[in-house]
Amino acid sequence: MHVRAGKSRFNLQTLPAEDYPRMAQADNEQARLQLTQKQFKRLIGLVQYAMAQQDIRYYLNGLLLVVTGKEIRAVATDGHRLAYASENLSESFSRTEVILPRKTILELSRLLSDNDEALDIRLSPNQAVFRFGSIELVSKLIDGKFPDYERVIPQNHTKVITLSRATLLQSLHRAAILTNEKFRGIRIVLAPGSLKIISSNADQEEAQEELEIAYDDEALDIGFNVTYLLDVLNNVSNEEVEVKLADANSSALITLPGNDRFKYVVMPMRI
Amino acid sequence: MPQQLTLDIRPEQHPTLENFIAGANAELVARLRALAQPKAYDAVYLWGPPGCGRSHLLRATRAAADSAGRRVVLVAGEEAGAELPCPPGGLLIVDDIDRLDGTAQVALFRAFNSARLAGLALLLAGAAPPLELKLREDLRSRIGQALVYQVQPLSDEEKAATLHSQASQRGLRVENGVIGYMLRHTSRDLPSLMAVLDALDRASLERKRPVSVPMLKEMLSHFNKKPDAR
Repeated sequence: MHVRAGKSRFNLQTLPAEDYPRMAQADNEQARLQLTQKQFKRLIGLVQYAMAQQDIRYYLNGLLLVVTGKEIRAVATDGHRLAYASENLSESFSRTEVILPRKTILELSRLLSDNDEALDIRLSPNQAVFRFGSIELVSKLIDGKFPDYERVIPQNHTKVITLSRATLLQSLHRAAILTNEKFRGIRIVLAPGSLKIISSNADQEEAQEELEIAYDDEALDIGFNVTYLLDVLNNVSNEEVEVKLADANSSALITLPGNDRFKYVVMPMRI
Repeated sequence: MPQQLTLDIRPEQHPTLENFIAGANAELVARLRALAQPKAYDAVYLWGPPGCGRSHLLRATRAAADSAGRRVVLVAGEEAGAELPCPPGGLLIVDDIDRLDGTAQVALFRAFNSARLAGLALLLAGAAPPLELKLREDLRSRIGQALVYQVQPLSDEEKAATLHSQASQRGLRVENGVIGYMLRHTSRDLPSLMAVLDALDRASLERKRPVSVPMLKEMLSHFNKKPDAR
C-alpha cells in the first residue's frame, strides 16, 4: 500500500484479506430482544463494577444476563459482593442465560448512548450480537456455571436503616482517607439513633464520622471494605438507600427504597 | 490481619455415582447402579476404612434410587432404633452398621428376614469385613451371606484425577504442582484432600489470588499451628 501526502511517501506491507479471522455468525438463535440503549446502559451500569477482574474462576470475569418471562436481569459478582438489577421487557421469553465477558460489557457501556434509540440483542448458545445505531458488536460467551445468585441474596435481615445516599457517600469518602491502603477496612458501628463510621491506618491516625439515623434495634459493630460501599453508592442515583443487616459475619443488603429491581449484597470484613 | 469474608457462591455438589472416581471399584459402582433400580432385591455389604468413599457411595446410591423412582431410606448406624423403616419394594441403606446398638441389630436382622417377602433391597456399610464385625452372631452371618465388597482405596494418580475434576467443577484452575504437593505433604485420604482443596478455594476467593504452591504452604503451616482451626 502506498500513501502519499505532500512530500511524504510511505510504502506499507499488506496481508491477504482472506487471512483476516472471520467470526462465524451463530444460526441457532435462542432469544431476540429489543430495549432502548438507555435501558440497557443503565442495567449494566448498575452491576458492572462488581465483576471480577482476573479471577481464576473465569465465569466471574463477566456478567450474567438472564432473560426470563417479561424480564431481563443482570448479575455480577467477584465473590466478595454481588450486584443484581432487572428491567422489564415488552414481550415474554423462555428462560435464557448467558455470561458476557468483562471486555464486552466495558465496550458496550462505553459505546451505548443515553437515549431512547433501539438496541437489538440476539442471544444464541455461544454468541451474543448487539445492534445499535451503526454498530454491530458480536461477542463470544463465557462457558461456565454462574453462581446461584438467588441463594446469595439474603431474605431475612431484620436490622433496616434508611440513609441519604449523598451524606453516606461523603462520610465514607472522608473516612476512607485513613484506611489501610491494602485492605481498605472501615468499621460501621450501629446503635439506636446513630451510625458511626470509624477508620484507622497503620500510623495510628483515626477518623470517625457520625450520622443520625432512625434506628432502635440492637447495636452492631461490623467491618467492610470501604471500596465496595463506595462502588454501589457511586453507581446508583437515588436520593436514599436502604441498608439491611443481620450480624457481623453476615452480608449486608443494600437496596433502593420502593424498588425491588436492584439489590447489592456485600460481605463484611473482619478487622 | 483483616479478613474479607466471601459470598457462598460455590456450586452445590451432591455425591452421585457418576462423580465417584471408581478406580478399582468399577464393579462395585455397577452393582450399586443396578441396586438402585426398582426390581433389584440384593443385599450388598461394603466395607473399608474411614475416608475410602463409603458414605459418598451410599448417598449417591440413594440419589440414584430416588431418580429411578424407587423408595429409599438412608439410616446412620448410631441413629437407628428398634424400628427400621422397610418400605416394601424399596431400598434400605444403613451406614456404619458397626455402631448399631442391641435393639437396632435385632431390627436389622428382622429386615434381612423379611426382605425377600417385602421385595426390599439392602445396602449396608461398615468399617470391617463381616468376620471382624462386633455384632450379634445371627446378624453377622446374614451380612456374611450378602454380596460383600471392599471399597478399594484410590491410587495417587486417581486421587490427583479426582482433585483435578473437583477443581474444574468449581471453575478453579489450579497451578501445576499444587496437587502433587498436596499428595506429598498432606494427609492423603480423600476427605482430607477435599478439605484442603476447599480451603484453597476459599482462600483464593478471599484474596483474589490464584491457587499456588506458596498459598498452599502458607495454609498448611497455619493448619499445623492450630489443627482444630476448622
